Amino acid sequence: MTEKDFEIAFREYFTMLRNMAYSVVHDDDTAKDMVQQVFLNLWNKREELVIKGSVKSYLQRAVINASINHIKKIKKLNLTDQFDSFDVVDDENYNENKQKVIEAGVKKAIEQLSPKVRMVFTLSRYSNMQNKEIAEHLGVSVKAVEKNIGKALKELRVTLKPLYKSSLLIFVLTMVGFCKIVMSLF
Amino acid sequence: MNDQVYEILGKVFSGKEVSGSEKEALNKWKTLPNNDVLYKELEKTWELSGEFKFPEEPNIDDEWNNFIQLKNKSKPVKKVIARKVFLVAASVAILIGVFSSVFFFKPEQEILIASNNEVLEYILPDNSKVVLRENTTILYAESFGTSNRELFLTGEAFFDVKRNENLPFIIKTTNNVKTKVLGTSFNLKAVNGENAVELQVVSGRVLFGIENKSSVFTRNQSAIFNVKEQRLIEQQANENKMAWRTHKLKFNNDNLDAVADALSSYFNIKVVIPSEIKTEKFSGSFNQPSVDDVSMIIATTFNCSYKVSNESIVFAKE
Repeated sequence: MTEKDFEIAFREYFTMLRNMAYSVVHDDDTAKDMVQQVFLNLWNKREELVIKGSVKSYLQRAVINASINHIKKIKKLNLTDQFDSFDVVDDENYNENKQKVIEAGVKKAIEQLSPKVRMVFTLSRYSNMQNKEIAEHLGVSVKAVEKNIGKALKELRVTLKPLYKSSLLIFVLTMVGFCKIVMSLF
Repeated sequence: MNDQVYEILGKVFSGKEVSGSEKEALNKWKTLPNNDVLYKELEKTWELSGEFKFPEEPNIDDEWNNFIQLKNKSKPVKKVIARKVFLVAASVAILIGVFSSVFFFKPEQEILIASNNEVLEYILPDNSKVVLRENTTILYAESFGTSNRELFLTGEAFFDVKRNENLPFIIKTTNNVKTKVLGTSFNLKAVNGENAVELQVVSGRVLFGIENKSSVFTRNQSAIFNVKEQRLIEQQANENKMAWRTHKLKFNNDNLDAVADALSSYFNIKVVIPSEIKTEKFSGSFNQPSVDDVSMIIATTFNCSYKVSNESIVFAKE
């Protein structure tokens, strides 16, 4: 792998890998550090390493492994990483913006899922990865991936219930705005 | 059966193919009482979960530059880092140094603010106020206030942070202790060579600790992070800790050895109290106290003698 190829891969995949790491660790700084570290390992080993398959899937696998190790470490210490959800907890401006409230609520609800369910759900729903790819990287069956997504759905219905109302309100407001635009055309 | 429905619904909502038998099972389930309501709720849940957003897209140029630095740092080869140092003396007490770390990419300047022998008030680029105690330094990058609000503290300082939810204000100190806030005021002490980092909150909410051991502290709460034992200890708030800034010392039925600690911290000198009166109680408040006045009052109250020097106050029982 030449230096130029390496830089191209870095620029091409960094965001995608950050999103993957974020799906598991739910902290932007941790996620970015993790991806940096994965690239550093690749760089240091670039001469002796023989990558079977694509560089992309090598990187994906490395990021997933690093993220899972991170989660395990936190679990072992039996501590939750409070730096993660701190921004959401801030309640002083809670009513400032309904959309923000919804986004924060959804973020929080997802963070409350158990690590495995959360990881599978976030990867599948938000990171453009096929269930089959996720299953391969995690070393589980596609069926197990689908099961975890079902579990997430079941748990989220309960935790997201308080948000139904406020999102309905936004929907109504959007519709009112939309109608006004349509009316003004005539 | 029930859990299988969720699995099938997950597939349906995400637009994946479902088999004939799965379709059948789902339709059967839908006809059961109340399940139509449940179905609507789950549909809504799926839709709502789409509101999740990944954090802002990383700036790839910045990340690439970070990587170049990381890569060079991890090289076992010794590297001489040339540093250009410009010193600007703003007053006798203030030294503002601008360090330019020279990397072959985009050099970012670091700004060092140091108070020497005087308390120094300074307004940061984001309009947050910081009051530095004597012999304290803060260091921050040129990008402070635009892409981040991170700084490094050595010593003791009082912060009054301007609220900005998009850029959390993070103070790093030695031993990885982090303090993160959105907008509040608090006192933070992280003296080099001391085994603890101390926080006292005046208003708002402050997240304090290391990566996996941290807690939120609010108004009038105080905490110490013990670096040696890696332990976070909550303790009683004590206004005297901010005396260096307020110049007010207040004691209310406090043990004399606690009074000695407060005096020692305020005047930066050693205070020796004879052991037989260590648990005696003392009340009183001082405005702009001087070593002599305070010593005299305590000595009179407890009927002992005292001796003041540059490094210590020694009380003795006759």
